[in-house]
Amino acid sequence: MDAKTLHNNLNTKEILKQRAQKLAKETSANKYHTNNITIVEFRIAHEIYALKLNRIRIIHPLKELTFIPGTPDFIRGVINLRGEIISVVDLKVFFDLPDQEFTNLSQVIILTSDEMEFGILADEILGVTEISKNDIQPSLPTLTGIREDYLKGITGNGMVVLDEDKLLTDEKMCINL
Amino acid sequence: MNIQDLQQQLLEAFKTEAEERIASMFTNLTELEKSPDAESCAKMLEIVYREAHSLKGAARSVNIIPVETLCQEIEGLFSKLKEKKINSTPDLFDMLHDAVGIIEKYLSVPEPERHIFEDTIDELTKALSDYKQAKNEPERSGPEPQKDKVPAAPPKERPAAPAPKKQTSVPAQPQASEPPEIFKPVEDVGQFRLAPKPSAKTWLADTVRISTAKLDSLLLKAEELITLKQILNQHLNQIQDTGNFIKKWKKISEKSKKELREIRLQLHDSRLLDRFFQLYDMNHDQIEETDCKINEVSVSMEQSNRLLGGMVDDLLDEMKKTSLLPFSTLFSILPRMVREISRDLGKDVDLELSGGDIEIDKRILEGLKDPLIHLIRNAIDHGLETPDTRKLKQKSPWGEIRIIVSQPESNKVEITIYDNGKGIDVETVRKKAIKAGLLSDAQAAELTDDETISLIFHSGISTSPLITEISGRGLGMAIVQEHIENLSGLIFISTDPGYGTTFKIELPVSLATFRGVIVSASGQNYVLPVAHIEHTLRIEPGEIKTVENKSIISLNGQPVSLVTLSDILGLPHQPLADTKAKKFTMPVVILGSGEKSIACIVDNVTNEQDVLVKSLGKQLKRIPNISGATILGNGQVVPILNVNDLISTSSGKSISLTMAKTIDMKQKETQKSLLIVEDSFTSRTLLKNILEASGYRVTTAIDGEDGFQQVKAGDYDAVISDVEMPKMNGFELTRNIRDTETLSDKPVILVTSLDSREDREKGVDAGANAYIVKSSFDQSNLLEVLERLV
Repeated sequence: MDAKTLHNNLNTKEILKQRAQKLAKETSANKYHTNNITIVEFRIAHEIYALKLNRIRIIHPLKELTFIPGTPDFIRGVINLRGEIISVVDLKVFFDLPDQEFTNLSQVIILTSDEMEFGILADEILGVTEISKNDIQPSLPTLTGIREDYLKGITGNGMVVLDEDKLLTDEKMCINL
Repeated sequence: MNIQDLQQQLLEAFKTEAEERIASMFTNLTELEKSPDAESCAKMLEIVYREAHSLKGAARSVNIIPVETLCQEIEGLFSKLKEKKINSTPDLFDMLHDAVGIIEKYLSVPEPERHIFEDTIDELTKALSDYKQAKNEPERSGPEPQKDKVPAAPPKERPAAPAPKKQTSVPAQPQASEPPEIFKPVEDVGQFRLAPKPSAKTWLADTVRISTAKLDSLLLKAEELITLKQILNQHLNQIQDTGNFIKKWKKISEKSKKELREIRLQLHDSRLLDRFFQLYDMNHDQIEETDCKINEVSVSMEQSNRLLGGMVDDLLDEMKKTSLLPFSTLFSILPRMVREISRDLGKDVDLELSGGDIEIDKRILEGLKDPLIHLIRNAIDHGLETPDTRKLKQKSPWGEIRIIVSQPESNKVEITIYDNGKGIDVETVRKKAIKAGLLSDAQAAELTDDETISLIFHSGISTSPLITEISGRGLGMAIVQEHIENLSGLIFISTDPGYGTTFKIELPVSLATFRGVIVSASGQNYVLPVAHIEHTLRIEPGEIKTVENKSIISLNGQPVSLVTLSDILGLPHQPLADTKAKKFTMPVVILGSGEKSIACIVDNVTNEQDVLVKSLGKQLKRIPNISGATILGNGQVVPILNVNDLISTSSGKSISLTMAKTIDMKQKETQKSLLIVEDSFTSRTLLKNILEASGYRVTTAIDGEDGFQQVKAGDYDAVISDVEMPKMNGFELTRNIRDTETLSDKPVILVTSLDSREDREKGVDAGANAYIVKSSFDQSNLLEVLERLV
């Protein structure tokens, strides 16, 4: 390789680097400006729920559930997540919804913060999408009951957006008997 | 990385460095104050001096000016001390302790709040500077320090006598023991940072700083390998099973070869048969080859499993060692603490620490901190007397506290905490215990002195009449004991009234695993710690007695209350395992904690194995009866039961009614009833005895006709009949039974001496389920057949 190509190469590299930096900057700037949030959509029984991505550690298929006697009913048991033990919550029971029998709960969404961590059982994961914060409307009067306390709101097409921080910090979620 | 990040990182690094330097300064200052030996004195002086100097440099680099100036003064004082321009006095040491203490406080609060300490720092800076100036001028420079030093600055509380012994300043000595060039840079302190730190150099060479979070996650991963190891062992078992199955197949195939040959002899000259043999041989060869291959795989897998197992165990062992810390890390906080407490209480204390190099699990060391501090506080507050009292008692005015760590066994550490104070008065403890209602007068009288002293571990008993901020509430010792027991440790106490008290703590070196027994209840597995299991046994329902509405069983003549694990855990009862065992028995585990024990019925006791304790996660902070969980070889999560909880939950509970009923029903249900039809009295009695001993209910009939009447009348699970009988023989009986609609599927077993193929076929034709030849008749054969049929 002669000196000229080397020089050209360096130049190209420099240009590419600058472009990359510019691109990187733009997205990070975008984040602050847009009103969009990234959410995971999932289904429990017949309803579609959503959770913001930032508190989700991992989504894992439910394999084996070990029941822990003496826990409240909404704790369905514990799972083995790569050698770590994590408790899982059935929101249907926690929200005291009428339809409580075991549906095809096949997925676990692990929510995490420094002080708290648990899995939420879901029948199906529908995907990750972006929605605008403006789309989330305060909950309908029909959605009263315990569940209302844990909602950010409801989107136009009826998706229930849960409040992940409220769930994670709620005293009822922390079992200290 | 931008400048802000860098600054942040620098500040973090500074904080860690400062913590270490401050701890080292405290330790050495305290040592220095005590040390009688000029040589070690000079060494320690050198260390503190360097620490102060380095801290100053570090503070400057992150621009924390108050710390920098204060360090400058501290450093200056030490430099003077080193050069013997001033003498050490208790006053000076108090000031230095305060100075280091304020730096620590200053750095421990977030930046915006630090200004509140700035005045104090300024004052101290000034005081130190004044001290330096004052001592600088009028001080003599002669080498006779022993006499001079004390009057120079009279000690505040301390009696004069030990002081000269503790602090020495012989000017010539440090120069002799240290290379002179070390002292050169004193005027030019800025350069000094580059001077090699003799001890630090070797320390740096073979040590790397890793965050404990990283180590913990490594340990977690290493522990996971145990699961993998267990899984691979299971795979090996499966392969070996398959291998055994193929071997059996091979044997069957070889046997049939012989039979085939015989057939060939009878049907000679058939070409089709030749072809058949060809196919057969091919098949047999394939089996042999498969057997060979499976054997190879299984052997090599066994080898690699053994290799992997060894490596995993080694790795885990080494990983566990990385989480071991020497006791000296805990010791480092003690001298300063003892100094502060003893100063507050006006007592003089000599603290002696030994065994600081012994290592123990970091988690245990952390858990040990609070109880140890508590014991030391107690020793100073309640144990040691004031100097005056001690003099009256003709003891040395300096109280002594000794903490000795030793390792009597490779996996056990022993900590002895000794003080030579006034000891514990047995009578006071006895009275307090009676007053607190822990025991009656009569009971108290029976206790030995040692037993009585141990009562201080109960809450509500404190021998101190005064409740002080430090101790005297009587809760402390109970908490100490709880903490130690949570670490799987034990604590003992002994006292010599008037001369001192000794606490002995025994701890395991490492926490992670223990032996556990896997039991099942209501269809799920649970782990019980072996340490809490006294026995496992099987009981028959008849052994259960009821006393005052409670079920008990008798164990070595002692009544033990009986419960079921499912009841304690509040689980629904599953139908009892449908065993065909003739005698219905239930597995029972005798659990013990302290003096209490209970008998606990479980569905099954599987096996005993090493159990790795894991927490139940952040959400499940505390669950009654369950202390954690473990992961078995197949990845299954199994809860670990807390025996203490189980015993207290079980009190007042008895076997639930449903369970009692099931047991009762099971008893009847499992006793299968049989009808024996046999004309020979001897044979009849023999059979009856054998079958009854195996748990069957047996009725007899004397011939076929009698038998047939009885089968129709009663409800039997099976009929066992002889063949040759008067009136109606066995074949006829069988046929009659088969022809009766309600009895058509009743199992019939023919037992006979007729061993010919025709007879056998006759029996089968008649509809008998089994045909046992008396010549080959032995107990196990019949029982086996019965078990299959009934």
